[in-house]
Amino acid sequence: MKNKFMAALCVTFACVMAVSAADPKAGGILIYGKPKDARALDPGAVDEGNSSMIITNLYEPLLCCKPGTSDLIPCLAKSYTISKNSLEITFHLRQGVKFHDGTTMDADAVVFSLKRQNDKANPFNKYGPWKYWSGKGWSDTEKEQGLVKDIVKVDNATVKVLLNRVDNSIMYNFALYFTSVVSPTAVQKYGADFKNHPCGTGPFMFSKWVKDDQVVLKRFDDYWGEKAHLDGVIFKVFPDEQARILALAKGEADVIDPTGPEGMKTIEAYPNLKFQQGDRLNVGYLSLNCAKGPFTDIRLRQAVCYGVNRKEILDNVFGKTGVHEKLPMPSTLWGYDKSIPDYDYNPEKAKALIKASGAKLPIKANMIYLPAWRPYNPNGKRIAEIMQAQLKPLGFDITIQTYEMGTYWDKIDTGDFEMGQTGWNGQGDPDDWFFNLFTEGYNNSPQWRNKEFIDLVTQAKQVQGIPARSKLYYKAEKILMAEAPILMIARGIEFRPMNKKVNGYVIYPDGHLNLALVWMNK
Amino acid sequence: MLRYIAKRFFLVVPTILGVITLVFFLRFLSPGDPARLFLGERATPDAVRVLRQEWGLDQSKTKQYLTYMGKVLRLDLGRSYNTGDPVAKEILARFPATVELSIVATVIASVLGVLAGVVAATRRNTIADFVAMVGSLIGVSMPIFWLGLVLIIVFAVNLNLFPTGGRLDGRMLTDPITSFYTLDGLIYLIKDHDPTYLYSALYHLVLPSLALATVPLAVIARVTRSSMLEIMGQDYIRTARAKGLPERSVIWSHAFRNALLPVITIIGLEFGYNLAGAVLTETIFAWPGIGQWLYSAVLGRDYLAVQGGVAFVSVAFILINLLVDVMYAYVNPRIRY
Repeated sequence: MKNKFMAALCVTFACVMAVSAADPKAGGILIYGKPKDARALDPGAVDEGNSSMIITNLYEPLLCCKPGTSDLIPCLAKSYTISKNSLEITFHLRQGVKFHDGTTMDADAVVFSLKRQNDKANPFNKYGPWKYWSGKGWSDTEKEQGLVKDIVKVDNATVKVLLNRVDNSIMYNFALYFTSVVSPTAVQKYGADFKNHPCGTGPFMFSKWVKDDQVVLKRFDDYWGEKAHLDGVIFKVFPDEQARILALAKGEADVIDPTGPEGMKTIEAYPNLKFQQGDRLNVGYLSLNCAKGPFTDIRLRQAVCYGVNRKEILDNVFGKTGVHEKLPMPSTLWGYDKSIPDYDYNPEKAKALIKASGAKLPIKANMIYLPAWRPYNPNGKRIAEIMQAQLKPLGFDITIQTYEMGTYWDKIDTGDFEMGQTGWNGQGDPDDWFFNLFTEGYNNSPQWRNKEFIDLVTQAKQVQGIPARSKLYYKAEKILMAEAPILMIARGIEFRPMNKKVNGYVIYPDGHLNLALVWMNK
Repeated sequence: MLRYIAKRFFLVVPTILGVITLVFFLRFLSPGDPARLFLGERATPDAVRVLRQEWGLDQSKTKQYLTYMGKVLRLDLGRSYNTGDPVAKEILARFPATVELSIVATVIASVLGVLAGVVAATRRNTIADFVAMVGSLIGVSMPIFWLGLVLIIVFAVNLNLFPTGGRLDGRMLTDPITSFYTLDGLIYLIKDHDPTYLYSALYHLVLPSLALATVPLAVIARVTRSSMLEIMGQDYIRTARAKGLPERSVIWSHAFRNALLPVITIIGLEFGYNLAGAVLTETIFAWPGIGQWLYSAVLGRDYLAVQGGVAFVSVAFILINLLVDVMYAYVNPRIRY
């Protein structure tokens, strides 16, 4: 009897301990080590990770993603409706939300935040450039009318976004940081300097910024939702990757940016460190220039796709940090036709295609490879070397080279290559992949312009509902696959290095960083 | 002397204009469009065109040059493409960190370098000379990025004696007063009797300043040695010894002071080099100074920041050289300008 009682007591004690270990603990300051300082802390004015990781903790948009997924859930808007003609989106705002400066978030603030980016006549428009907004084609340009016609206040708790044309891919954008709501009072007070004095409604508020050193945030105690567990967060700059890892090992940083395979090996050697694994929305691929050089011939493009053994690349270069994808969009998103036939490794078929093309052997081509680690490409040089070796027996004579990052992107943009490694970190709508990467503009790195494909992905913007849009994307994907303007390499899986005392860290597929969920064991 | 200083000041102007002109035109040799880089992955050709217009990059090189020089003459270095903030403000925000690190590194390099050089010269062909010279050879050829990482691994991670980087303990949220953190530490010590800030600032200076001091230390040691050896062979040293002066007096009072001139030149130059941007040291030790800032400006094609930064650093370098010239007269009263 006594033994049973003791056993029951032990079980109860263990359960209590387990529950308390999993219970979030309040307090503490988390140090996030990153490679570069933020450019600006105005959500509309930036389009890069070193600023956005801070911005997403200071500001909130109308919608957001459910933690760890790309599913839209309400944020500053409680709900929204889309008109039948898809030209009006009505947002019903949450009441009682305060900005960090104590002012109230309402319809005027939402209209102010969005209009300053959209309306060139707005007195605050000059504080741009509004990179995302213009990059998405939302504002008017000299050549064409922008997507967003106007943003109007219906009443204090209702805002309408009016569109010039139908684009059903738009909703996801209201969960991205560039559509976050800013305090009009703060913008009016600081003007051009608002980017150095950020003020939003997020779970953390701005405390101080020492340039190239650190940005300090503290918990916002009047936050409308569940308050952050941490007392504060410090985003600290450690420019050198090795030094950043050593700072993590020593406890001078609690979380750092993901690192390449070598860095991961170093981190694995420290018992106080761990990795948080998560899916990200990215793809890495090899663009085959369809506008000039040997790959204007579709058969040679297909030959490359059959001639490269991507499993070898995944096994030897990515390891656990990558998965195979058939299409240039993560298979975790809707609109991805999982049944589409892939280019399985088949050197004989590749040889036959080369023969059929009548190309004179060896086929000379240059391949440029990424000079630095990217989430979708851990080692561009190694991947290039493997491809070079695999394609040589087929008759390809490939020279590989790289450039400093600025020059590299210049070459990719302008199609100054025959084979070029690239990739994309995108968002939760297929439009951000297929329309963005294979129509007009800089991102069409293979210079592949197929009218039928462009028509399909343009139509997919105009129909409502995932099933109808998916059908169009499936058709477009078949064309893309057959035409082979790219060779898919892989999708990167994120392994976020952090101290074992960090809990509750969630990896969002689109890279959104939400530190309000994080807590630390003392 | 005053006439000489005034003359040198006037020479600063054409030198700076020359440097700015050179940097301005060199930028056209580097590929990559700053507007495209600034707008990022989602840039559209239209947005790039508008931004190029706004930044004046669509104008002819001559027009861009004249516009820029016009601004420079009005002491306006323009706004950083990267942050949109005035370049002068960006420089001044980072300069104190670089000055603080450079001063400490130069002091370490000068004291130890001179000492090693004198010892090597006065104990020529002994084990001390050998150790000093081999040590300085290693110092001169040491890759700083490697040395920096070794210092961090050994002294910060394994022995846990010093921090890996930064200027203050990451969780220390006390606001800086002057941006010179050791000075701020002294102020807090006097005002609040709290040594924590000063201790943290000094503690963070140790590894980066040692790394930065390595090469200058080695150079100073070698120059001191050769200068001392030359002086020690002079007749007046033999005379001093012949009249029975103690060796310490011969070395420090007679030889050392006369051997100092080339050493001062080297110290001045090394201090100038450190100020001009200890890129690697600042990068490895997460030291938020000019070097790190200029490096990322170059990579981001932030031309106005690069031009402004180089101009500022050139002025600092020239002024240090001027100071060195003035010090010559103090060290050797025979020198008159």
